[in-house]
Amino acid sequence: MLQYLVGRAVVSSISLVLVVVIVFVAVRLMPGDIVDQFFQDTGARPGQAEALREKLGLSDPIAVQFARYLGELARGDLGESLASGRELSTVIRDRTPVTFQLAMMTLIFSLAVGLPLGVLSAVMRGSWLDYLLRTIAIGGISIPFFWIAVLTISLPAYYWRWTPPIGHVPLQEDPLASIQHMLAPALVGTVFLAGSIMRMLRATMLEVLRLDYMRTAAAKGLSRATQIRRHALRNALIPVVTLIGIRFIFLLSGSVVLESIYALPGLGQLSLDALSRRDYQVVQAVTLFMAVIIIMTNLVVDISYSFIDPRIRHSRA
Amino acid sequence: MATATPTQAATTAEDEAKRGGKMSWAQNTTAHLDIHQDSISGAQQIIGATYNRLVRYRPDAQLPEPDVAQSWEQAGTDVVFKLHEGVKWQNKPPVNGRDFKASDVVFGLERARSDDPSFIHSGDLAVVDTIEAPDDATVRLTTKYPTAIILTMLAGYQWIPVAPEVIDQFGDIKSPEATIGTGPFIVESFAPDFGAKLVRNPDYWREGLPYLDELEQLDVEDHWSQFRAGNIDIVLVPAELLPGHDSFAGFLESEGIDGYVYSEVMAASAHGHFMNTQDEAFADARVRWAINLIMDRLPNRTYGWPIGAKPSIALGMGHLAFHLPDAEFEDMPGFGQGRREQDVAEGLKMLAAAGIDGDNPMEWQIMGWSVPQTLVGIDQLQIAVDMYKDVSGNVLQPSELALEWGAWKQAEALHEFQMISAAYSMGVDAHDAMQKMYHSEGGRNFSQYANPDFDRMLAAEETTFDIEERISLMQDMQRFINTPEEIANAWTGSGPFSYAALSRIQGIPMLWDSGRVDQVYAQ
Repeated sequence: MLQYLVGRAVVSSISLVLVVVIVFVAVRLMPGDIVDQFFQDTGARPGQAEALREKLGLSDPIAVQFARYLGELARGDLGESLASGRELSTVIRDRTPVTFQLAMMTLIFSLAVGLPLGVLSAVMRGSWLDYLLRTIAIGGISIPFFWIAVLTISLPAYYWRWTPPIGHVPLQEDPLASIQHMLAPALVGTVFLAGSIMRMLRATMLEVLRLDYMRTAAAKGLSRATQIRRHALRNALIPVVTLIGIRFIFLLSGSVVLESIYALPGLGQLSLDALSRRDYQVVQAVTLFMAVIIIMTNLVVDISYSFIDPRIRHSRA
Repeated sequence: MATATPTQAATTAEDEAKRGGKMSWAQNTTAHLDIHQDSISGAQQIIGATYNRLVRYRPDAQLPEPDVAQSWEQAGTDVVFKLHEGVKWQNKPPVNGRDFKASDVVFGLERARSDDPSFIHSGDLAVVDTIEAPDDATVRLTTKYPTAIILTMLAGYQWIPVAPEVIDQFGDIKSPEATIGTGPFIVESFAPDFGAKLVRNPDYWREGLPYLDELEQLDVEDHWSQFRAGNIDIVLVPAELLPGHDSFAGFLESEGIDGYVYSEVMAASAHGHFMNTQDEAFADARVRWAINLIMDRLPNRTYGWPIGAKPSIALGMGHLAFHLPDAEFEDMPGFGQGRREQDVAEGLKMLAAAGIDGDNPMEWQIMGWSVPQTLVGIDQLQIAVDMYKDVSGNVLQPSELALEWGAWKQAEALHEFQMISAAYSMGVDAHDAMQKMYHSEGGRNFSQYANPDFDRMLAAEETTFDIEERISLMQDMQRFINTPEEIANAWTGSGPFSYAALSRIQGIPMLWDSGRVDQVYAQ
């Protein structure tokens, strides 16, 4: 296991270096910079834009900028926002709870809905309930969730002069209000994620239910519920855990859309604004932070296999 | 003089105004609150409610009136302001409600016009030579030459006074803690991408004001839905909802909203097609004039402003006093709807003389923003492309180049375009608009127009204090830049920006000038 973890750490480090290089270069390949946008209202007086670029270090050759950035990273310094001048470690610390709360609420709701319905659909294969659940799941996956999100605001506003609560209340400030404000975006995310979980679990359950040991379990006289819970579900979960890992990453990186629509000041909104403003430092810092989270999530998913399926633990040992 | 009148009276009579309550509005937030170091658009409502300036805009026009300056005298290059007595800073550390002094004005203006390139508005005060405080109640400002527009310029939201001890403690005024003014509301919280909360300044120097207890700025999308749901009290009426309605009031009634519309809020912006005179496609003035004659201005103009749009050259509705008379446009080549056939024929003839005809059509790109947006977006590009093709019988064959915001702004700054379709804000003063768009060193002279004669006309107008004479000179300039020899930009026009407000909120100033938000009250 230790050897496995060391191997993963090496691969992860290489991935992070690649992320740093690619993001640093890619944001600078985008046309325009933050200085153009500073002067959008008024225009710059002659020489002013160039002077500001020099002050912000944007007129240096890209190699010099990169060396300076690596130096900052080596000191554990993510730098400062070009737009606001705020320390990015502080900015990310402030924004992360919003994005994580949304992702976690979506994940919990999705598991609460997707897992039982997936089992039910597999067990009742071919029934009208199975068809109904599959239809709903396909609908949830197929309909773009940003469209549903927009509708959750504009339709009730039009017909009932009401919208779901907009904005964010920190969890530590008022837990109930915080959950209320996050409910609509989390449910919209759930429509998408629960459908995926349900379909994946149904498919793997059906495979497992056909295997010999399930017949053995039935022959031993175990109740249907025990067969499903102890023998079928546990073995069917591995691909679902992989899916959850992938979807959780998607929730984090895809938070841009939901955070924008529901006015949630999270990492997604931060990076979207930074991209639009060409605030290179913010884009780099958020991307690096997300890359670390994604790598860690993958690692946790991989390790969790060992706990779900002892065969994997033994093979790694 | 242009005036703004609500379709339903919104009175601020003292006997009717009530105390307490909250007003909310939606606005994309800026990265920070230091308006000296950022564009005005994101923070202006918060800053306007928090700070006073020496002068502010009149409620009915973009002309100056006293704010913390009780009066002023302007003679030659000198403007001497006398400050109101009893003005106090808000009761937040480190100023803790101390008396406001003339030196605070000097400190704020000197900071704003600093040589440090981060102070992006400094160019607008390039005309200022010195700013002094002979005593605690007097500010003397000297310009490098006599200028008629300095007072209007100073009414801009960016020219706020700042207490030196705030900068000593915080280094800047970006954070809500450092945002300390003399205004009616105190910033309690501010977060980019989230919004701001402001509370009543109990020690406000204008006695009895403000009426409201709280202001709230929300950074939300879909403003109209939020307004319909009553989550915000004031909203810009979306142009895309207006087609089919004759009036703003009728529109609001059809929506079943208990509110009122400021139907003639002046919009200091105008739409046009900006031709890069240094690009091969538009280097020939005959081609630019032909474009001016051939273009049908109505589709673009009415798409951006479905109600109340007017033709204009360079100046938007905000500067109607300086605008050419409406009647003059009827006879003006390219503008008069009654002379379309004649103009188009003449334009095609001119193109033929420049070697452009059905066998050799002109192809170019019209650049703009890639989002669907009624004033500046891809919709306007597509309307323009179809219009040129249809009207010219495919002699003109433009294509659209829709760019993401940052890419568009860079292309503008570097003049890497052939033609731009956009609506631009025309500044705080008519002179400011013309200077930025047409002066050879203008900060928004996208077409790279340069004519020393025009620069001289502009200089003469700037130093003319008689308002009637100034108006006349401004009108001469507009005629000058709309001649076959000088044409660079083909303007379509503009209309009013209209704000809708819920009836529970009264007294919203015409220009939604948050410097006057102390007059607003909730029913």
